[in-house]
Amino acid sequence: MKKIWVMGCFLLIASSLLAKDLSPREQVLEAYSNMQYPQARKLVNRYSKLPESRLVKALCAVFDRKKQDLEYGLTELKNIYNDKSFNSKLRIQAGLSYARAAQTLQMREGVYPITEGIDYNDIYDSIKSSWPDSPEACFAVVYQSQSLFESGKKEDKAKGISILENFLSHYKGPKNFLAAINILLADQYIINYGDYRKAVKYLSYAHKSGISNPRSREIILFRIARTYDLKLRDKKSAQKYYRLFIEKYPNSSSAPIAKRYLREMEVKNG
Amino acid sequence: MAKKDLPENNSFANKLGLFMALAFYVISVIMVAINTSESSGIIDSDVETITIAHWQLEDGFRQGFDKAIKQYEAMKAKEGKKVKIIQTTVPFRGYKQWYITQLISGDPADLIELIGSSRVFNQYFIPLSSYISEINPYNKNTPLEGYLWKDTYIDGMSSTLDPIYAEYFGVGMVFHSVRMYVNKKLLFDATGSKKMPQNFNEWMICCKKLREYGKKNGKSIIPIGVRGFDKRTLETVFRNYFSQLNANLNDIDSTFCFNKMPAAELIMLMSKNKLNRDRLLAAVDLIKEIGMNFSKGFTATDLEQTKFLFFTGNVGFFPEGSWNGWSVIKNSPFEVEVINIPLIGVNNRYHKYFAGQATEIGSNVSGRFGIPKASKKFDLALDFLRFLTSYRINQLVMADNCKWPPAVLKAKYKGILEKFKPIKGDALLAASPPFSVGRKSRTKMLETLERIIVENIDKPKMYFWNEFIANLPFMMEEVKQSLDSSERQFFDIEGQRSSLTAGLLDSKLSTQKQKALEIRYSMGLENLVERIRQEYSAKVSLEALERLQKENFVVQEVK
Repeated sequence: MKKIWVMGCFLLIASSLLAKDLSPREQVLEAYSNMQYPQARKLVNRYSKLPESRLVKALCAVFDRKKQDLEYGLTELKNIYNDKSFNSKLRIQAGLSYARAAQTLQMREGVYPITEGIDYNDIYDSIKSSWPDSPEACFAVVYQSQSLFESGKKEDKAKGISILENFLSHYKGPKNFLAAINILLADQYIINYGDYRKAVKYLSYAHKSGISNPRSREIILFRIARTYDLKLRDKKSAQKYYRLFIEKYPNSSSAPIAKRYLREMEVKNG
Repeated sequence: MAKKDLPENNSFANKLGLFMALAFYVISVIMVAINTSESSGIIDSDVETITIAHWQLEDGFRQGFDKAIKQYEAMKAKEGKKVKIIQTTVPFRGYKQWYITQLISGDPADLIELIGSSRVFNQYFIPLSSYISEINPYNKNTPLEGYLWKDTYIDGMSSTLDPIYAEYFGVGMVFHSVRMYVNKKLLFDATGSKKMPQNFNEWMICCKKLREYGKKNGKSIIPIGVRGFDKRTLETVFRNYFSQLNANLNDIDSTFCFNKMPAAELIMLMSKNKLNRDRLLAAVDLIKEIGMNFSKGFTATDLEQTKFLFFTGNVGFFPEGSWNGWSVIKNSPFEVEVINIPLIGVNNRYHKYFAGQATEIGSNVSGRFGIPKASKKFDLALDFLRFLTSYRINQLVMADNCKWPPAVLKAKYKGILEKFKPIKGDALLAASPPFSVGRKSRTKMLETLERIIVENIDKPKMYFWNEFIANLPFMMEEVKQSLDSSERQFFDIEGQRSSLTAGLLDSKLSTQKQKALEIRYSMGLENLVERIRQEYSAKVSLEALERLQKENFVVQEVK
């Protein structure tokens, strides 16, 4: 009998050592990161005391459209963000999602009364000042400027650009988030001022800082060459970037076009 | 005596019946366990099994996959891993329903051919952007050794990028293009020559001779066979000729300096009367000319019927995709020639507008396969996907078995495949007709073209333009709907961002996984910026459409 007990204990210990089970915290985060909302809900109920569970439960209530409970989700996200005793990494996520959800829902006026009166800009400002070099601050500044660009007022558009430029001048965080902000600035200089000199400056910054999306990398390089060519009439720079494009993306559908433009420029230059 | 034995016999029979029922029950339980167990059943629990599902029932496709599966299983067995790949095919007609049910059920195949909207992809499929920038290990000792996975494709995987979420939810298998299949014997009998038409006018002359040949010999000859029911041929041919005449539009300096003129800007230029309308509509005239050579009831003819008519020797020309190339050639009891859609030659009245032939290089990769989030064998599924799309295997499946052009770079085009090689063209990108912005307006546009042919409309260009103006409310509605869905997409993008950060909060992530998540995180921000620009373009489209309607261009006759 004793032998059986020993054997049993040994097997239990061995199996627990061999098993690759994740910790409750990891299980909760993994389920949500895979956007498996039903599984995430189950896990947060099972491990309800974890701070991560509280955050994930609130996020599920907001972003899982099948079982959306905006009132609970938004209030809980706000509470987490305001609770200074909470882990700051979780707070920043709660704050950003709270503000952005409110902002996007407010885009449809009158449809989501629960979001009325939520000052998302206030939270974006607070994220930017508390965690200025975080990727979340990059998202916050883009979210903030988006509403300014869409307002239709000239002064708001100028403010949007100045917020982005000011942010870039102080930001010391991961470089891979800079490309998006630079591209946004380039687009807005084109849309609002037709200023292609500034646009090409920011597109070049984006190109240099490293664009994560491989397709965008290709598009931006082509746009730089084309802007120099058609808008700034700087043929030398245009040729340089067309050549760079052909060298980097020889199999792109735009490579034959870039070659043709180069040929045409050479013919014109004699 | 016999009566006395009866209860005993009954008892034996009952026992036998009961025993057999029990035996069959046990056997069926074992069989179900074998067939449904994740690791290939209770017999061998070491075997890792994944399922690959698609709708490609064309000749050679499944056989090609089977060969690839055998090679993969054998290769893994050599490495000491027991792997089993199950191939499942569902006919296209029921595929969408089956696929959605599978995804919702939470237990789909591990690799599935993609169909449906960006929202479905985003909700159910694992983004592959961080993997496509890695080297495909199965290209070792091939001309693509050392290339990033995305760079091994003829289009750099650009065709598989989801425009809404700026993500790669699947990778393609094949390059497809449209060609024209010609019944060589019929053409020779009708024209007395083996020469294929070299341009549009020669093509039309051939069609005329085919009609005359039919009349003379009492045969019902159809010069051009079309799949009219889904309007596919009509659309393909219209787009092709529109592009031949207007591909130069992509050279106009657009607001954002893209390689292609966005539809929104074309509509805006149109609304300001800055484009040559006769040139924009010239393709409508050509389509009417081509349409006069279709069969009378072409609008009700589907692909299978057209193929049947072609096989019976009654059709001269059949413009159709390369996906049906091999089955058309193999099943025809006569010799079939494959030619490109004829170009507009110097003798054509619209040659003055001819811009050139668009390039097929770097585009048109399709047959995307993705890995559902619910797959429990992600690593194996990804590994097999890399294997399938490697230089050697992609050619084995596509070129050798189903005679489809492979999606990989530097592929060898042998035999009939030479005809499907991407056309280099005149260094121009294809131009899209700016007469539709969504599914509904596209259908309206094609219906107008159909009516021009069926009712033999006298002034096709004017009729087409007036119908386009009349359909503007539909187009505006489509743009408004897309703007309304922006809020939803921005909201979803934030949901996606929060899920990524949840992954990054996990402190025990491997460096590789951490890096992959970080790349996706920054791609998310780039995607957001892209969406902001798209929203701006949609607003420009709406403004342009409203302007077009206001100006009431109907009164201006097109000469």
